[in-house]
Amino acid sequence: MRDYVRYIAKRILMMIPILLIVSFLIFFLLRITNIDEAAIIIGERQSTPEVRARVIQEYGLDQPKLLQYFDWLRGVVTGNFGIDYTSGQDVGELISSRIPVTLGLVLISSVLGMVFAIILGVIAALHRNKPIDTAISLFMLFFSSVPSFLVSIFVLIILVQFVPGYSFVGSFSNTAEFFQRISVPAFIMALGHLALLGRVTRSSMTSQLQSPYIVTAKAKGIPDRQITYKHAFHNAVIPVLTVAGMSFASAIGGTVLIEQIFSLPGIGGLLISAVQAHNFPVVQILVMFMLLVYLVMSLVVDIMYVIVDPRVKLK
Amino acid sequence: MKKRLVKTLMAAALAVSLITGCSSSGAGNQGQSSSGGSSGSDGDEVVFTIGFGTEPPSMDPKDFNTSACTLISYDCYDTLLNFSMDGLDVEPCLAESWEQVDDTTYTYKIREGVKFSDGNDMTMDDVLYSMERVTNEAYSMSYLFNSVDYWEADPDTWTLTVHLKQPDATWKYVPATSPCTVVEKAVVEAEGDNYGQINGSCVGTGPYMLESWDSGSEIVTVKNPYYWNDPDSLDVDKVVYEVIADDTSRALAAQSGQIDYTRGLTSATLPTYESCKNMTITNYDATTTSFLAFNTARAPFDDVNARKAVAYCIDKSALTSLIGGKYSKEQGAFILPRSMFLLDEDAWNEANDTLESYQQDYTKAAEALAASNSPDGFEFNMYTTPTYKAGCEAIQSMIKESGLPITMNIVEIQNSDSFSIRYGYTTDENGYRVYDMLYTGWVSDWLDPTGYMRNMLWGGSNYQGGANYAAYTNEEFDSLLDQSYLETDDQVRSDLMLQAMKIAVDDCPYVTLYETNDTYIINDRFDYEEGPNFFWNFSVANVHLK
Repeated sequence: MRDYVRYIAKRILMMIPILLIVSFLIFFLLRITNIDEAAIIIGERQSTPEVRARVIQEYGLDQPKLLQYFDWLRGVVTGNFGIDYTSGQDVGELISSRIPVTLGLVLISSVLGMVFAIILGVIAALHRNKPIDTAISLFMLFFSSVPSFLVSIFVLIILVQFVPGYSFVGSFSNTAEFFQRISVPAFIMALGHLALLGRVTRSSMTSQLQSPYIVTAKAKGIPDRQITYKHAFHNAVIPVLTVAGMSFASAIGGTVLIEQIFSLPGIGGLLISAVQAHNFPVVQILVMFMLLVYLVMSLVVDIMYVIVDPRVKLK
Repeated sequence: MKKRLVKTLMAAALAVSLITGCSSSGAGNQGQSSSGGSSGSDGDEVVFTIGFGTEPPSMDPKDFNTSACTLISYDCYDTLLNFSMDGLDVEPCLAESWEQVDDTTYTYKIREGVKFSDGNDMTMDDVLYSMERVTNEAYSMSYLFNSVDYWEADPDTWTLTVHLKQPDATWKYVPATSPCTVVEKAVVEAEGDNYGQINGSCVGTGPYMLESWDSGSEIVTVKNPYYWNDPDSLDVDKVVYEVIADDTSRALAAQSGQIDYTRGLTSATLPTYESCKNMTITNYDATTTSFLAFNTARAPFDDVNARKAVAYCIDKSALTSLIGGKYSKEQGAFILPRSMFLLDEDAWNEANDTLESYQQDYTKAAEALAASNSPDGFEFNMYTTPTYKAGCEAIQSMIKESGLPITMNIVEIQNSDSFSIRYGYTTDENGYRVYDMLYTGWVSDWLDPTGYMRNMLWGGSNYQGGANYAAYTNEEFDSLLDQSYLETDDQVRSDLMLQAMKIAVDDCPYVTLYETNDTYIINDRFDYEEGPNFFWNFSVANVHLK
């Protein structure tokens, strides 16, 4: 148990330099194009010299960039995420009201995707080259090649035609409404995970089932069920976890278009508009947040490795 | 046994993460729910649901320069005057009556006993503060107040006086525009920059007041209990404004009855809107045009023949159908739309049809190029936002097809940079506007021709922040337009303006393209007719149940 704690602590410590490096990169990459930040902040107001001077002074834009970076970093560490260039709102408040939708989408779709991927992948592997395998493989091939925003539009058109009460606009005030709003998009995102992970599960499971140790196990007379689930599946799930980690971590990026189509107030839509508007403070924080989610997801996957495969040692 | 335990733990971990993810969201969201997103009444409550692609930047009248503000924010406030629905005249609102004392002085008798939505009385101090705020501070529409010298308020007689620097025949319309709304001084001063923002407040005298605002999602307004005009005249109890960024999703929301009203229907989504049951699409003559602006301040387009060489390459009817779409029609010689020919319709129509409208003619283009300062050809940069990119590509190929040695490069700019570039805040090293040519559009502030002529063509608007995109100056034009401002007789004004327009047509600072009708779709349960001045006129107070 102490190993676990030490390992996790070490991994969390390792996140710090990664976060720092990325924060540095994102801060300076955004500014490399010489965008006039004062003009963005002034927006559609008359840009008189007085207004400009006031804005530059207020936002500290006359400071050297490196100093601005450290100011921003100090703010982030102390919980002051900066001011939105276009709305003048506190970025922390803005993002915290948007995170639940995105996190809900990512988590629900990941869990659904993982569970169904493993079930379908195992079924396909067990019935290799039979009609059911072909059907599942075709299904997964289809959804891994069709972009999820296309599926979203298609599903939306069908829902509008055949489910009269289905609502995909507006806000939500309680958990039930929240689920009602995010269930369909989460399911569509899950299809994407399912298609990818299912195919990995199938091929990994197939190769395990053909391994010599399975032949030995069969020769020893161990029941098929036990061979499949205790031996083959256990080994087969390891590569699946690797891919799952990648897939889940990048899911947060996939929410961008889905949120737009289902008009969900998540951070995906916010990122699009922030990038378009050169709204640097918002882009910076969102990129850092996405990175953090990515790092945490990878950590969770690494821990799962150990749980699933005792041969893997924590270092 | 150990393995089962592990599996159970894993399942539990996933379940917990799922639940925490969701419950935190329930707590994090403090928004009000709409009536399940569906349109119509909630018991006896009449809900009018507006769907639109963007969120208003704020609920502060100083920022009211987008349609999003018109659709939801504007109803929280009242202006001094209102435009009549036909857009031709102004009517009383917060000002009961008004008078032009002399050429440069107007007085407004302000209504007494008006309350703000927080229950406080509106005072002359509030009125004066509101007007001075938009006049003196450099807000997006401060150009409307260019001719104001100073404001004056008399709390005893409830009279507001404006003193202009010079006579201005179009001043009469300004008090009906959104910057001339009255805010509560104490609230605005207390909140500063936060006023009207998502976490600030919004207090006005209008028919509705802000109830909730969920960032990126929904804004709800309800009847203002202190509304000075009869609150019972309002049929709609609650206005729900849904932000639906995706065009297709918005059309589907209309189709499934989740929104009662939306506007600006794009060609791609039109078939979906047309298939909506119980919804009616309406289009009407508005003041929206699309055009090309030459930067006449610097080479190559400081040369009228270079301008004409490019103008003659452009097939306007192709652009009208390709980019303008179903509700657009090709323009003639004049940059202003036909809906603004009201001063003397026959004369304006005739001139528009007979004056040079620079139809595509490669022979004339070649002649103009030969007569220009650069007969061997030139290169120029066309600036465009994503909206007009397809149009620019079409123009690029039209110029290429002419076989003339003219090269057009497309510079795509983001919408966020567009304001700074169009209004000349972004300049080259010599202080000139940064583009050679611009594909853009304009919506007039009013139906009087000055709504275009003063902004697009008058030398006085050729400043940083001015809308004279062509940086066009012609002394003869300016003096004719200036004279028209001093005249009160419409026929005389019209004649002077027509003379000026003829000069502008010859100088070709713009290539006119097409004018586009405004389109909207509304649920058949509601009775509402939009006027040509949607931007100032739209109010849910005018939406009635059938």
